[in-house]
Amino acid sequence: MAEKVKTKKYPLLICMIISCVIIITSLFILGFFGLKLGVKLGGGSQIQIVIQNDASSKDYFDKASSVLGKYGYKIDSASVEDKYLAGEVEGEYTTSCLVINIAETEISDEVKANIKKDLATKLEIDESNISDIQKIYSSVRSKQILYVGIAVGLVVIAFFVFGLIRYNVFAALALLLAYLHNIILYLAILILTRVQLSLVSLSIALVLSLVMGIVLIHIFEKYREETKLQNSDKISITQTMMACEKQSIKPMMFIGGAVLAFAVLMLFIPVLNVRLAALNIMFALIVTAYSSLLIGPSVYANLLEINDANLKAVMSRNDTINKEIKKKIKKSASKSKAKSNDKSVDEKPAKKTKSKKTN
Amino acid sequence: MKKFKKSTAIVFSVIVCVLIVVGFVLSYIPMTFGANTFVSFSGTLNISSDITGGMYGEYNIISENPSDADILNSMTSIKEVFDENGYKNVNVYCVGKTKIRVEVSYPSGDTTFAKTYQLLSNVGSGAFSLRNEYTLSEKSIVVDGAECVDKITVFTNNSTKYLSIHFNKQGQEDYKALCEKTTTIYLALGDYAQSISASNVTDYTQFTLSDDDYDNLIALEQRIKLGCLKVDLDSSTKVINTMSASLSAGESSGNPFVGSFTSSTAYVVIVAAIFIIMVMGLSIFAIKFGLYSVLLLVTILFNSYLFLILMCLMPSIEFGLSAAIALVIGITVIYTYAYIFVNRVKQEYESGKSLGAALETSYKKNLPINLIGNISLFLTSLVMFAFSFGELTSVFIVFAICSFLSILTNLFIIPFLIKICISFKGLGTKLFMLKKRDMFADVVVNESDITVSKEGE
Repeated sequence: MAEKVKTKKYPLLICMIISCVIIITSLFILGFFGLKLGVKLGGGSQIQIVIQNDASSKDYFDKASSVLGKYGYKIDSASVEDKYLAGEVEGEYTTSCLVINIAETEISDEVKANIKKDLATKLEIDESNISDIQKIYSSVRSKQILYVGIAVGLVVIAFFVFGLIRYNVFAALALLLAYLHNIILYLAILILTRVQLSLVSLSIALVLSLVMGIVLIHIFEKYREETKLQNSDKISITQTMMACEKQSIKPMMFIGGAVLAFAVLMLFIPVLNVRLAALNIMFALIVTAYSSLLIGPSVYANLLEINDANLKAVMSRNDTINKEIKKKIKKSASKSKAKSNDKSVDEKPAKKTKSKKTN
Repeated sequence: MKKFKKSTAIVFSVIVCVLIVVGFVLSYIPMTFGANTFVSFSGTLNISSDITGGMYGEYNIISENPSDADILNSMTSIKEVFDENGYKNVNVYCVGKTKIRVEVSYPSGDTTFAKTYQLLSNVGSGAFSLRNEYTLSEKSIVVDGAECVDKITVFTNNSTKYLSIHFNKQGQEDYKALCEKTTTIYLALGDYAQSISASNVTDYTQFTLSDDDYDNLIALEQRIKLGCLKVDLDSSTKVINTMSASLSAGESSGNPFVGSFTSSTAYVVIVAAIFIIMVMGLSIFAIKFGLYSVLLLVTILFNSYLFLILMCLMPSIEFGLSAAIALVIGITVIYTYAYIFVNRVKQEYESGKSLGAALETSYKKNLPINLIGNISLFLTSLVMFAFSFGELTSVFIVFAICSFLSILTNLFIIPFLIKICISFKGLGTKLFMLKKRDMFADVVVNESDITVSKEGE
């Protein structure tokens, strides 16, 4: 009995299901709760607190952070600035202010008043030293976001054209799908985890998607090199692709490891924006690794396998057709032979009878 | 890969050493020559206000119930003018529909406090007007810039400055009425007025501006553009001052002359993290490939000089948190391609080739991967840069520079340095930590395979 050889296969179906589940769930969450945006992208709210003489700005920051935390708000960014306030000598900036931005646009008037009260109590200052919580309107226009979208589209086209010229249509499709998958899945994860999308996270996603592109190109290049050298048909496309992936991934692990180490170091910075950036890097790394190791090569390998199977089917169909034709030819040949034999057998006694008759 | 002659190799290595030292001094050490100070290339790096603090301007809106579209339009106009003047990452936002706030990074390179202050103070200076008198009287005929103008551009042609105004319908009528009454037209803006000569009324009417004082004209150009905002800003209550880093959780000060102004925790940790990543990378190379890590250190130093020089050539590009992240990813890309090359050299050498042949083959085999990977990275970064805005522009320009440096490093600098090294006897194998090969270790000879040729006897 012939033994069944177990060959490793890419879990493309499972990956597709996982990705689809994440994306669809995130779409539902997006529909119900919307996308959480950073202050620079989606606006927020601002509070200005006058720092009393000789008071510590860090102390003010910490206390304000705890008060806002009670209401579920986190400080996005804060700075200290010298200000001229009404009643002071014009041109002399003697008052220092702590300017706090939070990424929340809709705060009710009641909550605003309560926050102001709580801040005044916690900081032991008069409420007049705290400005009203005012909404910040972002200056990022939809046109600018649209331009970034156009750029992403152009990069997708560039990857596709490159794949088409250098490799084949299947590699081009794999590059295109993996790139789009990378960006969409990253955004889906941000929506699912309710981590805010800021300009920093957007740039991390776009840069790592480009890196994913070159990781894939590296794997495809290795595959191209390997298939040129390989003569035997015994090794399947998937196996070759996996071997190439294994070889290519070693140096690429360097990028992942170093960037991850950087993200871990950034987690030690006690600033929300920086920590969020670190978290974003980690998400983006996971998605990039997933897209470049599981999605891109498996799509390419599967498309090649399907194409190969189709070709083989056509070939075998041709073979069977050829065989049938041969059979038919043989049959017809044998029939004609048989006929001719029959004729010759029939002709022989006839000849004999003729000869007898002539005799 | 052909070796250099030993004498040539010595000359090249001396040149490399000199370049390293000179580059390091110019890039990282500030110097004073008499009255002049050179702050080094790293000193001229334009670091974003998030990291090192900056300047801000706050302007109260006096228009009653301004629409969202008008506010957004005004903020975009302010951003455009700052952008034209080299402040690419200016942060403009509106607070509670009562004031517009502009935040700019701490002046560095060719920007100064005075230049930034001038620009910030030009915001909300009021709309310009065209009139028939120097000082306004009851008989004055006025074309109001804010109401009659769709678009304004100031441009220079053969060192003459022109003001080009695109009048709307009402503006065209008002301007015709003005031209019928007088031949001398005054361009007035706040307490400033100058006579201008005008061409005939068309959709785009051009005025020649006298160029007696270039700085005044630049200020005028800024004020004309910043004055025609859709919302009116109160010029008497504007606040312009300095602000500390916003990515700092420590003690901060709003005064740049106080130590804690730039004490951004993020800045310190990011610089330290970049340094740690580089050291980590080099140590991995040192463990795996020995002396090759020294070559890599040299190339990384050269790369850092080139990066700083290129960033200095683009003073409007701000280096912020996201640009730092892009830089880290860029450095790892350079490291990765260097790793691929040296790994291939090792593989080729282990397969039985001589060091020279292994280097030659590795270089040739790596060329397509190197070129394709880095060029596609470079081009896609440029595409993203061309279409992006704000912080994203710095991210993609930093990434494009890194991919360019990766091409330069892996195609030219590293092979050149290797060529120098292999010219010295014995240094080549030490360079890649290559073990001395036992030529017959892998050869298994069976007795049955040995056939003695009788013909040869």
